[in-house]
Amino acid sequence: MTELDANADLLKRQRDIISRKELKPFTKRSDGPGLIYFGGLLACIGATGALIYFADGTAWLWPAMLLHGIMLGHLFAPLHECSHGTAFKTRWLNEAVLWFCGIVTIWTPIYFRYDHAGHHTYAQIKGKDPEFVLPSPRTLLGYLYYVSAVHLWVKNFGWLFRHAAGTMHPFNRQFVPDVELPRIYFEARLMLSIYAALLAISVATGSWIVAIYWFIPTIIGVPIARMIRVADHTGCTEGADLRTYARTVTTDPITRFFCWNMSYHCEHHLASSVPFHQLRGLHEKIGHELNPVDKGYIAVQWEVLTKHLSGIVSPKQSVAPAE
Amino acid sequence: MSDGWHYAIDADEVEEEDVMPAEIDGREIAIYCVEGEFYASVDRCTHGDAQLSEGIVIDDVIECPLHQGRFCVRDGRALSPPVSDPIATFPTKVEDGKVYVQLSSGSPTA
Ligand code: FES
Repeated sequence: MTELDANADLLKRQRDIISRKELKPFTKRSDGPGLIYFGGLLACIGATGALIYFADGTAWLWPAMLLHGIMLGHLFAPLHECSHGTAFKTRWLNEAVLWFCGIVTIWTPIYFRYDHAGHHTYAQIKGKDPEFVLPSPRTLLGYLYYVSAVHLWVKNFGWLFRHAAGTMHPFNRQFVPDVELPRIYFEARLMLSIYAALLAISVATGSWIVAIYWFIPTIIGVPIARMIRVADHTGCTEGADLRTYARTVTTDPITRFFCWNMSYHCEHHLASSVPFHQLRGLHEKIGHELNPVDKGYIAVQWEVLTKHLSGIVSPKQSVAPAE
Repeated sequence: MSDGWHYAIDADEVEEEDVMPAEIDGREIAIYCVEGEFYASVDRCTHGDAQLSEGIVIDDVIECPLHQGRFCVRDGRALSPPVSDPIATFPTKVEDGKVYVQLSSGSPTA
C-alpha cells in the first residue's frame, strides 16, 4: 500500500456534510449523459476541423486551428472523468474514451490515474499534491507559464520519455505501486510509437494533415482548458479542508458542457464517486455548505490576477508551478 | 457457530446491489448483496485508508469511495487503477435471514 494518509479522514469529514444514504442517489452511473457530452464534443471537434479544411490556404487557417485546438483541449474533461471511472456505466466505453482522449491530448492514461488519485488525496498540500496549480506565493510569470501550457508539455513529454525509458521521477514514483510500473512504461512506449509513426508518415508523404488538424491546434488551443483548471483551486485554502480547498464556479450551460460540470469542483472533491452529470444536483443539495461560489471563469481569472498574485516574479518562488 | 462461521448482519439490512459494514471479533468486514447472493470482504481498500462499505456497488464490483479503485466482490480481484492488490474475501452463508461469514479455517479466499 502506498503512503496515503493525508486525507485518511476525508470520508469522515465528507460524512459531516452529507450522509452516505443522502449521497447514494447521486452516485448512480449511466451511459446516456456521457454519450451526449462526448458525442457533442466530437461533433464540435468535427465542425472546427471542417473550418480548417475550408480555411486552408487562407488567412483564416490560424484562427480556425486555434478554435479547433480549444475544442481538442476540452478532451481533458472526459479524460479526467474517465480516469475516475464515472463517465460511463459501461466499463469498456469508459476505458476506450480514456485512451482515446489520452492519446489525442498527450496524457498517459494509466499514470494519470495514479497521479490524479494523489491529487485527490493531497489536494492543496504543498510538496505533496502532484497537481497543485500555482501554490502561493504565486506570480504573474508563474500564472503565464501555467496558462500558456509550457509547463504542461514539459511535464507530459517528461512523463512520456522518462517512462518510455523505464524510469520514473521519485516524486511521481510515490503514487505508483511496483506492480504497475511495467504497464505504465508500456503505455508510454505505445504512445510514443503512435506519435513517431504519425510523424514518419507525415514526413514520408509530405502531408501536413497531422500538423494542422491535431498537433499545432493542440499546442495553441490548450490554454483555455488550463484557465479553467486555474479556477479549480487557485487562491483557495492550502490545506485539506473539504469545504474551502476548491472552488465552485457558476457559469453558463455551454461552458459547463465543455468542462463536463467540473465547474462544480468543490462538490467533485467532496465526493469523487459522483459522476459529472449528478454534480449539479449535489450542488443544489449541499453547495451552500461549501466555498462561496465565484461568478464565472473570467471573473475568477481576474480575481486570481488581482488578488492572489504577489508580484511579477517573486524572488522567493521558482517560476515553475508544482504541476 | 463452528468452523469459524460468525454472525455478520441480518440479510434484510443489506439492500440489493449495496454494501454494509459489519464487525466480527473486532475485524471490519464489508457485506455485499449482489443478485440476492451475499459476499464478504475486508472493509479496507488496498490502495489507501478507505472503508469499502462507504463505496458503491455496481453489478458485482465494489468501487472505493476515495479514488474509485474497483474490486470484484466475488473473488476480491483488483480491477482498475489505482488499486492493484486484491482484497481478502470470505465465504458466506445465510440461515434464518442472517448472514454468516467464515473467517477462520483457511480464509480469506483471496
Ligand atoms: S483508497 Fe481506495 S482507491 Fe484509493
